[in-house]
Amino acid sequence: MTDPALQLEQVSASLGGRLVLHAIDWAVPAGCFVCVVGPNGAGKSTLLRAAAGLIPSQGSIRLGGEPLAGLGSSARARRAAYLPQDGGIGWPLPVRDVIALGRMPRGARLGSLSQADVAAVAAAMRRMDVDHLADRPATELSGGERARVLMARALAVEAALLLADEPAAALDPRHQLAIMAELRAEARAGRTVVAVLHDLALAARFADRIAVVADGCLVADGAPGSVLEPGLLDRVFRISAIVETRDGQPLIVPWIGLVDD
Amino acid sequence: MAPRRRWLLPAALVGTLTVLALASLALGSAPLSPAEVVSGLLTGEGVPGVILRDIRLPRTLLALLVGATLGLSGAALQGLLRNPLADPALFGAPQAAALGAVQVIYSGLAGTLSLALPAAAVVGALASVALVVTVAGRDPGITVLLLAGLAVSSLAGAGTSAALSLSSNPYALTEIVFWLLGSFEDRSFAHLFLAAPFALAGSAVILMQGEALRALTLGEDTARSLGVEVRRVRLALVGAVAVAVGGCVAVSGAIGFVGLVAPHLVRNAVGADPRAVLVPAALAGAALTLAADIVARIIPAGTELKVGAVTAMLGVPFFLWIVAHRRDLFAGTAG
Repeated sequence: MTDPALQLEQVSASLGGRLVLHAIDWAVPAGCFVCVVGPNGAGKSTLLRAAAGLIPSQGSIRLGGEPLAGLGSSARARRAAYLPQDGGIGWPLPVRDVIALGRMPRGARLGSLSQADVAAVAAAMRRMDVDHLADRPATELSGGERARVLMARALAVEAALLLADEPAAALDPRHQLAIMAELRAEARAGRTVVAVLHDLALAARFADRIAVVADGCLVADGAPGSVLEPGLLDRVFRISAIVETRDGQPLIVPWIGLVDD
Repeated sequence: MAPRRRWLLPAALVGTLTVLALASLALGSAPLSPAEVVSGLLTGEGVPGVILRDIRLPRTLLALLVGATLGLSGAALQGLLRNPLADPALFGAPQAAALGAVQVIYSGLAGTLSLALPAAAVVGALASVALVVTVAGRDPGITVLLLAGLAVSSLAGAGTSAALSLSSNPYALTEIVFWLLGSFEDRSFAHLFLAAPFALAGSAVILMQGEALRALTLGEDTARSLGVEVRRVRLALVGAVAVAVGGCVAVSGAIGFVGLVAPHLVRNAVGADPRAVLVPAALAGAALTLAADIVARIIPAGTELKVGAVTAMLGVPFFLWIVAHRRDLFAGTAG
């Protein structure tokens, strides 16, 4: 029995004095692609940031069985890669140099990248379809291009756990499908991927598991077909959706926004 | 950036510095020929030897030290805040350092050659930078940063004015006013040795944060996820800048805009990478300051122009030009 890639026990977290996460118990099996969904303001990003060790939290968080609190900052950085929502780029660095920052936890220094570093950067660029942007200043990209570059930066870490906050939000449909396929491939290769997503159709189509967060609590966690049922969509999202099965996978199309009584 | 070009700019800057240093040793109210400079430096004898040893050599070295420190400090603050307009002066650091030093002089605690002077300047600079960073918050937009810096430097300026207006000794008053303007005039090796420990220690700490500065390009959350201890880095940089700038201000007075301008002079050649900018910005700052000091010396006037006035006259138009034309540098900055 291997340890879960990520395990939370009674994890609570506050932002600006307001309790955002309420005693969450959650285990993410290794090699799994999990999508975290939930309404705006439910605490999804806070959950991810707590799991990445970026904000203080109560309770116990373990990465691959080891307590997060006991890991040094660079050991933690090698185990868990994190992609923030709407990540900015402060200086017009070339795209390749931005992605190479992902190798920093492995001791890479720009200008003296090892062969493994160069290979990881090249692979990440290829997978996110940003090869052709390698020499462009990263501040001059479109929103979708920048999102792919930043995702490539996170992939280049080659961490056992990848925590991505809305990696598909800014992308065109083809790149949305591509990034989801890549994240699933990442999981098939043995890494664990946790992605916050708003697009229920994409989540249902690609994720191994779906975790639903509402009002700072984990209200459901399981296979997409069993989690995204009409009752939960009504309760949590206040929508009515068309839910079907296509090629053995759940197909979900949000259809009607319900009016609060 | 092509690796071949990496050494080109530092080499060009070192060449420029050498030429400027020789010019600085030769030029002044008693011009020396290159031969006199060389023999005067080597033997230390005769009138040229005395001029060089007691006046021009310490003055030149001090200008290089102060300029490099300001250039490096500016580059570090710009990197830390992901903001191309950051500069020690915009934090009110030199103004607050001057206030600290003036307080010491006026309270009669120390003369201008005592360690209490740079210590008080460093405390003043630390207080101002800490205040601005605290008020502006973690990820400050340009507006917040500039307003906070403006407020703090106005406060420090007001404090200095108050000290000056309460002074009962008109002779000391004139001396302090000139000192506040920023100058390398009449500085000796004693001044150099007073400033150097602070400037060098602060600069060493700044240079150690290069990788962290590069990671901060992607914001504090990403930098932390890459293993950077952001809070410690921020504290180290802010403290190091205050110590280095405070030490410099204590002996040369407030010399503005070098820290703002120097990093921009080198970005076209070395790229925007905040780590790659550090050392070239220090060299450019040294060249800029030394050149300004030479200009201050050779412009014909009844008395010598102050170098702080020269850098401000060059720096302010440049500052306005950046605001107007380098919008690309603001891409990652919240307004």
